Amino acid sequence: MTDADFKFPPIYNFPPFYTKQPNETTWQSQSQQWIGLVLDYCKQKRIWVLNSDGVPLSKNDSELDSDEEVDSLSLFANEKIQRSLKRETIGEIYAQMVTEGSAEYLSPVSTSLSRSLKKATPQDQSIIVYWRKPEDWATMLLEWVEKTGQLGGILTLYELQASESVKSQPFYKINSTVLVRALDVLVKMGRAQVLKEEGGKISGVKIV
Amino acid sequence: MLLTQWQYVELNASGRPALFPEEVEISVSDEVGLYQGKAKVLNRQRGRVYLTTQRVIYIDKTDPKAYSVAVKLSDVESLELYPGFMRSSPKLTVYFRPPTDPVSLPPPVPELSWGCPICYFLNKWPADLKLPSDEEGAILPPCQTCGVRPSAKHILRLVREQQEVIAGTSLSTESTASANTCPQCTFINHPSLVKCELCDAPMQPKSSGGKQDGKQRAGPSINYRDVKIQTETDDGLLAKDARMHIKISFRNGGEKAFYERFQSEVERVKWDTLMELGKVNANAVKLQNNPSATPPPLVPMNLNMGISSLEQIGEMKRKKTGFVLSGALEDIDQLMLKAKELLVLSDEFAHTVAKSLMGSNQMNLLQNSSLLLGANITTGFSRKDLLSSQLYYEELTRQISDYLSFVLPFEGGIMSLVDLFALYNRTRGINLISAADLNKCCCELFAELNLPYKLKEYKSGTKVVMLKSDQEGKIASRIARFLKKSESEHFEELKERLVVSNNQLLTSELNNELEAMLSNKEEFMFKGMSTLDISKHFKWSYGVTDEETELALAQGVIVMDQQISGTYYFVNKFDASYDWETEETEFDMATWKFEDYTTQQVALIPPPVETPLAASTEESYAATPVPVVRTPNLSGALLQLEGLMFD
Repeated sequence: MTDADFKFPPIYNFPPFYTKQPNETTWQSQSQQWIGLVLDYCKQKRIWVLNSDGVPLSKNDSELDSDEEVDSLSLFANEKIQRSLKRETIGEIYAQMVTEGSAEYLSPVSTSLSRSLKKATPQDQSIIVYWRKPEDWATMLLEWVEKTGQLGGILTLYELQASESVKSQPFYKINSTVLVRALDVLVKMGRAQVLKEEGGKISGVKIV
Repeated sequence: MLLTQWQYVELNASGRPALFPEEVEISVSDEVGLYQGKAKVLNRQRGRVYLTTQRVIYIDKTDPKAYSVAVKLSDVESLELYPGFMRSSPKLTVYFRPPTDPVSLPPPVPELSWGCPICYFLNKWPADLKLPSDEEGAILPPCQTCGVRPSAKHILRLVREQQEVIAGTSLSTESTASANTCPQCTFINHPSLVKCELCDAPMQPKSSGGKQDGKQRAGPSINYRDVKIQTETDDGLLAKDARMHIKISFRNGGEKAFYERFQSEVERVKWDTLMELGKVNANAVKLQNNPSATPPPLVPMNLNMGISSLEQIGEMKRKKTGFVLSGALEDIDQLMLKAKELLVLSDEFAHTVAKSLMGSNQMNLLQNSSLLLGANITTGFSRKDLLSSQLYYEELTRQISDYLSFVLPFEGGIMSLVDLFALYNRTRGINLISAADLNKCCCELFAELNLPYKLKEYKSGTKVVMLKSDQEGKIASRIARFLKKSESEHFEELKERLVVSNNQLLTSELNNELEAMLSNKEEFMFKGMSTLDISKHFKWSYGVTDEETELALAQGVIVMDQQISGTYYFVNKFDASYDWETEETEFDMATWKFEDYTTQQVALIPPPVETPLAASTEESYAATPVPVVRTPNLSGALLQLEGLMFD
């Protein structure tokens, strides 16, 4: 699924792209361009989590993704022109993404699956990038379950994420947090029931 | 009745009269009205009057362009001052010399000349020799070089031809004014030549072109635009024995000083005219009529007895004191700004010494310094010269405006107030103005007098002077255009260098390859323009550039790249409408059609406004197509033209 050659837009080589513009309007369009770039980049590389420096974090998030090659380089730094975005500016872009609903801060409240978490200000926080909205994932899951005739059956999260049967599906190796968010959507729609372990950890899901 | 002495006045952009070369302002007075004969002249009842070395110029307050008139000093015969009585304001009567006055130059008599048929030498026809009436029997002078007498037939034919040509030129001055046709051989010479290029004959003095008339005072009139004068009532000039005269009515005072200067100028002009006509003996010296030149003797030579003698002694003493004070204050005048106390002191004494102070060395010094600078704009009025301070400020503002029209193009169109203060005072040399005066002039009066300049204050408090037409966005877009241009130039230059170093022809294939290479390598990247680069290009001072780039940033036309080595500026490419292929945005079309400052200035530099020439140049600038700076697809031929294309 991964395509190593992500084609950056020409603005990626434009030095002022790495300086927060003082003009509010210009900054708006600048941050929009960044958000678009982040979403495209993550979608193509199937990156789920970005840390506060813009380095993809999928590797240590879950062992499921361990076989995946992930850049260790920050998306917000351009070696070629030797420019990088400041950390505060990255934080602002993250904040905007969260407000827009295209990302979520990685925090202990947001998911029960995430492990190592830093207690930090939002600026220093990593984000989960929703390059597809949880609603979209939910629809996809539902379609797949319907198609494979598993309505009413109980499925573990692992089955949804990494079993042989979902290998051809777009949500193959989906990030656990994103999966939980998608299941939440289904629960709200009344199409799913979540089975929890004693510790509150989700063990399985029943889609109806 | 319309007096022929009224003349049209050209104004420059600052609402001041456009002076002839070598014409220098001497005095100015405001709130004056004009009379012709006994009657008031309609629409000329409120204005300023300038006295220059060549003219007296009335500039109307309500509509300067339409109602301003002038009278040449060479037309003036004498002056008379009416001090005013009760509600009648003081008036200065200006008598004109009768048209047939022997002092005026006779119209130039065209000289006849004939070319020798043998040696082609151009002989002058002796003025005292009559032209041969018929072909027989006339005694003709021989050619001056070869000594051969021409045939009478030949002479007559030539003479007739010349007469026709001369008659033709004098009748249709309009058509020949621009062509400068030679009266002898009809060769069309360059307008600036005074002698014919081919036959060496002197050219007819042209009737248009006010510039030449400055020197030839009694030359042909420059009255090429009608001056319409309407009087309130009958002016009484048609009566028998009436002397042609006009009156200048001083509603606000100041007539005395004006009269004295006017009088001395008229004297000078008369004297100069006499000199020109050669009616003055070679070593003649004009009698000096200056009371302050030598101190009057303290004690009259022949002392009489009685009260009258005592009075006389008192008078002498007073004169002596006046002389000493005026002499001392002339020097102090030059230190006026440094010694404020002395200014106060001198103001206290002003009413006693003012009269003897006026029209002395000071003015001459100023004239010299302004002539040295090659511009007439620096004639400084001192505060004392002008009675009302409002007039002083208005006049000062107009002068500064003139000065700006001269100096602003060298400063890139924006100049900080501090720089202006320093430069202007340096140009003035002496009799400096204070910073407060300048501030008052620029802040308040630019707008009030409707001058083409304005004061702009940045957020930081820095004040700059610039053209009124330079709107906020205009300068920002100029910066943006410069950035864009330098970016494309940067790539063109690199490409050219690579092509030359590889000794290859630039094909479109190679061009694409190069472009790909250039856009991918860090060392070829366009690194933006620093504040210094921008200030160099626009000739702005660093501070001004800083402020202007900040404004441009705030307007979003440019963006910046901040890093350790400094801040660099780029064209805004964040806009969604920006097309990275053609390097153009919608924003280009909308905002970048402002013309370049340099071209704008070219149209502005000749100061007279509303002349047909200036109007047409401005139009032509407006009509020039919008220069769209973009990366052209270069071919070999275009490459050589690069310098032309992008300049």
